[in-house]
Amino acid sequence: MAEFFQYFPNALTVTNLLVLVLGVIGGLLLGATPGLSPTMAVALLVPFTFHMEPATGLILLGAVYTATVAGGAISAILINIPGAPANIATLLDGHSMAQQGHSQKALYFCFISSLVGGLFGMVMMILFTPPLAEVALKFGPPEMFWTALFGITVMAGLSSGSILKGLIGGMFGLLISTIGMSPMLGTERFVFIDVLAGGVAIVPALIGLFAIPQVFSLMEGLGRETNTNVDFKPEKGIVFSTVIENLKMVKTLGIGSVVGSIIGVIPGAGGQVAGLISYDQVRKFHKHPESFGKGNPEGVAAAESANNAMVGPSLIPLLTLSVPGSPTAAVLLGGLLIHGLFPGPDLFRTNAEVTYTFIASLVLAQLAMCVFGLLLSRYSYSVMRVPNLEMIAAVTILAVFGTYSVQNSFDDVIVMFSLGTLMYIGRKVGFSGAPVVLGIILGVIAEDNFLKGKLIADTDVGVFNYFFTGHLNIILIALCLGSLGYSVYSEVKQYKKMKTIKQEAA
Amino acid sequence: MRKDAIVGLVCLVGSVVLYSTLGHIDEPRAVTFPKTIIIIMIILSALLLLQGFIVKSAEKKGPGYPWLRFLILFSLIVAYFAVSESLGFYISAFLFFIAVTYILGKSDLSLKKAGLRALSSAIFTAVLFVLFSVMLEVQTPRGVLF
Repeated sequence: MAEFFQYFPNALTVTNLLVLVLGVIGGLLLGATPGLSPTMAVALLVPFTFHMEPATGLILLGAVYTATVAGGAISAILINIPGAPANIATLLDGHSMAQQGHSQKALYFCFISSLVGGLFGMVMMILFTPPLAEVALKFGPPEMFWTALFGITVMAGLSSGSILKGLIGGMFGLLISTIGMSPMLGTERFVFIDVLAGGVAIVPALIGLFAIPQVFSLMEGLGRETNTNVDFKPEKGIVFSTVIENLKMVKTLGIGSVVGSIIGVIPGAGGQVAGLISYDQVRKFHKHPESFGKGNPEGVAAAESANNAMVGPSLIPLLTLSVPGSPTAAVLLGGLLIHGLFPGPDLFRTNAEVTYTFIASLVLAQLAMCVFGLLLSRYSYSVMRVPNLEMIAAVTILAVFGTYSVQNSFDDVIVMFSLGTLMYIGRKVGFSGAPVVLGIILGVIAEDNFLKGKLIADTDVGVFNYFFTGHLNIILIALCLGSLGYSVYSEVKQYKKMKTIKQEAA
Repeated sequence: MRKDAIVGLVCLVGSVVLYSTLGHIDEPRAVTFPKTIIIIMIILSALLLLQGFIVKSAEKKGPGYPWLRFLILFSLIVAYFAVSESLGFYISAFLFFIAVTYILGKSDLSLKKAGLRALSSAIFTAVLFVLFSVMLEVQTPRGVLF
């Protein structure tokens, strides 16, 4: 905690504050734009940060990450389309409020509740991340190997409808990470064409896997865009009354913040689950549960305080163990790695200045998100009118410039587009980009520790004893199996539910 | 054959082909990790193939796929890549923006819209120039003009 206050002023330099404000405004607008996913927005920004100081670059990514979660509520409230999965619970009451002519009030509730939840989540993160990072000190090669696999099993289970496809995607990502020279031995693998000689870098992979499928999806939607003519009626003089009304909802904000923080720490659970559970709990404890879904502001407060409370804690497993809590956090991990920052205790010791400046900026980003959200809410509906055609051209060009700018290499652009096209086809048959990206990012850690572990094991206790015994190994293996088991259980449950619905319909 | 079964089969064949490409590498330690991953992929693909036969997945019926539009966009992107190093990044980006908005949006293209789209393209390219060449000082291929 002392380090947090020590490095807090670093986040207040003119450059860092300017980047933070631009990131927050950009994040709010990107989050509000239907068709642009927050994950893609952060992925497109990663190359920009490459040319900045590490702390400044991370401040930009953190600000966008924070603001897109809240910004996604704008489209949920105004046009009934959640900007991100985290905002699904928001639309239940938020859109009803908008239909009753209280769009602006609903948006105010959203940003104020997001601030309360977000700050609570950040306090949890500041308190628990450094001690948990110390646990990672005890990790040797086998534990690091299992941790990498745990990250992939979590993402595989929760990012697509099928655990098998999620795992195949994760394995495919691991395989992509082995393209090029073997890190320890210098042997070439899978170099079928010259473009692949240098391997697949993180930035082309991130941009390709998230931006290109989005471009083609936007193309598919041309001509059948949703009518976004919003009946937006600005209400004057309601800011302070709404702030007071919102802050009086102590129980709702408390439930949302606590639920969001707990769910946030569970890798992969994400804001969607946090928002829905919090909404459900607040409704159950409410005097008038029947008012929910019909424009009750407490529904908005419950969902938004929870999904923003999730932001800070979702970074705890990311910063300590490289296990991201959501697809966007996986992209953020890529941003850390391109600046040479590896999750674990070193982040809080050797790179303490950059890390704590980043954490301080996340707190400031929550405040800026609320202030600019309140200020921009009356104009926010205009971003929903950006035509898909312009978006297709702009995203493609940004993807090319962003990819090229990192290594000044056109080969990277070709890799980016090829991976993106392949991912687009993959998405058509049920694959998701998140496990693939995580496989690419964690592949190097997994292979390096697998080989190191095998070398030690061959001269010591043998591979089985080295990788499958010991308390930490057993805990991590159990976590991998638990994550897989839960995913299989959820899939079977969902399948049975669908089958029952079909039988009833027939 | 059901969709998941076909996907499983494609993954299975792909994994076997990838495994065979590692055969010529003499250093066994360099292929231990990728081989392990491919073996896991083969098992998972076989399970997906099996699941495709056992579990009946819901077939979604929607509007037909816009193949022509996909081919046009794909070709425009490839053409954009092909000329960007010779024409320069900024000119090719400007032309690509115009080409996409004119060709894919030709159904509602009026003189006014054509002008607005050209203006959007010019503004977007100018923003890119300021962002990448002025602020971030990225060296982009210069091409014929700048």
